[in-house]
Amino acid sequence: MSEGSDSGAVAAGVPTPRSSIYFDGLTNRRHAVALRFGAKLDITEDGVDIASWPYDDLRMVDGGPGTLRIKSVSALPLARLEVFDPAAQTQITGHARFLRIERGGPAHTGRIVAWSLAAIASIFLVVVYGMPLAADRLTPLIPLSFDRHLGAIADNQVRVIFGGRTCTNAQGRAAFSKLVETVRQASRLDVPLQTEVLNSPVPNAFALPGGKIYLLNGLLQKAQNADELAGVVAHEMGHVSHRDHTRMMIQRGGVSFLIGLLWGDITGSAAVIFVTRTLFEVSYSREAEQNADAFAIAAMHALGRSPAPMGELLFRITGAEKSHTIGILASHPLTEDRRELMRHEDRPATGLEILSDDEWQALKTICRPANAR
Amino acid sequence: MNDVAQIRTLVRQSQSIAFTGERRDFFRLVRRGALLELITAGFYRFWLATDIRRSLWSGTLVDGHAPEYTGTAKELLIGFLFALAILVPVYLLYFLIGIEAERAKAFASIPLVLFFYAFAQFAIFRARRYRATRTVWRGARFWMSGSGWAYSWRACLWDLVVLLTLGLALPWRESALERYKMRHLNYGDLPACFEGTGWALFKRGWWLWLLSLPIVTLPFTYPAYKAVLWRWWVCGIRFGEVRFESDLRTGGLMGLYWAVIGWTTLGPHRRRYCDRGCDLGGDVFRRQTRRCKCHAVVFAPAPIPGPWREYRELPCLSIVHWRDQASLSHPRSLGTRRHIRQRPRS
Repeated sequence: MSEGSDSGAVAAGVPTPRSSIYFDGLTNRRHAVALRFGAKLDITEDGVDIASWPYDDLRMVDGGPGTLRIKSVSALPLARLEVFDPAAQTQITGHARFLRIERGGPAHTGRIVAWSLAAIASIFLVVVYGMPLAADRLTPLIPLSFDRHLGAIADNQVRVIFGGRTCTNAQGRAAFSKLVETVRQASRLDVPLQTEVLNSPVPNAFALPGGKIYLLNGLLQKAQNADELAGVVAHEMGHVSHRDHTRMMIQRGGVSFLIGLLWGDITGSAAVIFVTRTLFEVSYSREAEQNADAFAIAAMHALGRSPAPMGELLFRITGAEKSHTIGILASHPLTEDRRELMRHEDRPATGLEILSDDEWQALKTICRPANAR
Repeated sequence: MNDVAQIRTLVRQSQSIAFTGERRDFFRLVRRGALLELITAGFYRFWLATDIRRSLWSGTLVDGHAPEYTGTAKELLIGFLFALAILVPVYLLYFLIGIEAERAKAFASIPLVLFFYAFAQFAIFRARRYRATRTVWRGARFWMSGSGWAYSWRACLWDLVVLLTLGLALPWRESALERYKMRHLNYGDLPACFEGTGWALFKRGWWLWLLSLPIVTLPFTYPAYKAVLWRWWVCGIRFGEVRFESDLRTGGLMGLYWAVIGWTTLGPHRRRYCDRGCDLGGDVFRRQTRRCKCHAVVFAPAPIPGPWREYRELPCLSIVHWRDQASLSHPRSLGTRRHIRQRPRS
């Protein structure tokens, strides 16, 4: 057995010492071999030719420190020649033209980068254009009962947050119902609505999917007349009518699904994900807000009332925003722009007052207990 | 060159394992890969993982010959796409169920977590099978049989037992799972097996279980457990007559782990901790200690799942870890089976 020795005697007529090890691809037996560089690379063990590899078939593989390890594409897949002698290594690199053809170079890396960038561009396009389009097309296909499911989930959360502080003054409720019903009929919204006033100092109002609209007492107290309030309620009805929540959920779900699956395991991309999602959600919700405003303006016109008071109410709540908000990052259109738009749509009143003075006073005090009046 | 020949001869004569990889080359590789990964938003990770494995494999001399890693990044990419194909429908289904379940106020996330856990176990088995199949040493290939899902349900059941026994069953879990993995591993026509027992691991590590009971001691006991586990694992491996022993020191590994913790928590002192990490562990052939450059880590944005995470995030420590694991493992009777045939074709 010629197992192992690296420094065997030089076989007759062989120019290189036995400084190479050959594995035949059948067993892991170590053949101490000598190399002869003729028309092909001849591998001889104890003077006997055991393999002959054409130079053009030689390929370099990983071989460890100071070792040139090669395979031959025409030999058995695992046949290997390990060359330790630097002179023999130089000989081989000189003869074999395609030695490094399977080792990636800069062009190879460039291709990976190019394809990756193409993939990123494609994903970006899907997120920015594909998802909104898909959401717009899918939303009408989803039954309204799904909106009500979503609304029920959100409603549970609202109840937890506000602790069921519903304002129950009977006269106030009657006035509120009248206002809501008037606006609903004017805007021809045929979704059954559930509306409540919640006793919270936050000046806000919001709609839940499926037709639930909450008005917070803070906003009610800032309102100076029924027209202002009617505009806000109409705006929320716009969200319900456009099914913005469902649309938003499809989009958000789609985007986080796509990005999360592809890059979910990469913390470094968290920033990228955050930025893309924020920018895209913001631009989306701005569009939704503008549409809801348009809905509110149309409803007020149908009532024969001016939408301008709504703009004044909004401005009263937020104040000027332009100075401290970067326009592109704001999730709502800037209040001064909205007020400007609504002033622009101002028409002389042709319709009846929405609420009488008594009804308006009752609505303002809806959150006081009945006996306190 | 002379150097290398000397190392090779030394390794051959002692029939041992040594790591000859150069730290500097390794850092350059990781730094370049991490940069490319940033540019490609993470897609380069498959190529980087492949390059890292190739570098570690070919830098390790076992009985004078470096193993060869023949896996390609394309295979990893395809594997990733396959995983997506399995996970996407599950994710969608869960999404729809989740909406209903949330409404009924059910604790909806548990089934999905369980599925992903089982899938992770499946992936662990398949990852080892992949790496084994792509490893060639002395002209013969390792390969693995066995089923990923069969491994997965075993792992999940064992984890349940471990949970119920507050971790006391962990040694038996490790030995059962390792037996499953190793009895399906082969080198050519030589089957491997695992002779480490749960009881042996328990005897080596029960005091660590006691020390871990107050949870705050975990940062100390975990690396110690890992060292115990590694030594137990190495000396349980059998390839026919061939067996191994390991001198991996608990203190050395503990130092490495603390260097990792220091690295990740103490920003300003990174450099110092890193250097200390590099100095840990005895260098058999190169006495001179090179100061390592760890700023590569700053560019490494993306941990990849699985055991390669540490090699990605902390090239400095990982290469030391790899070297320690390799050069402190001593094969016995490596010369007994020299005529391993290739895997019989079925």
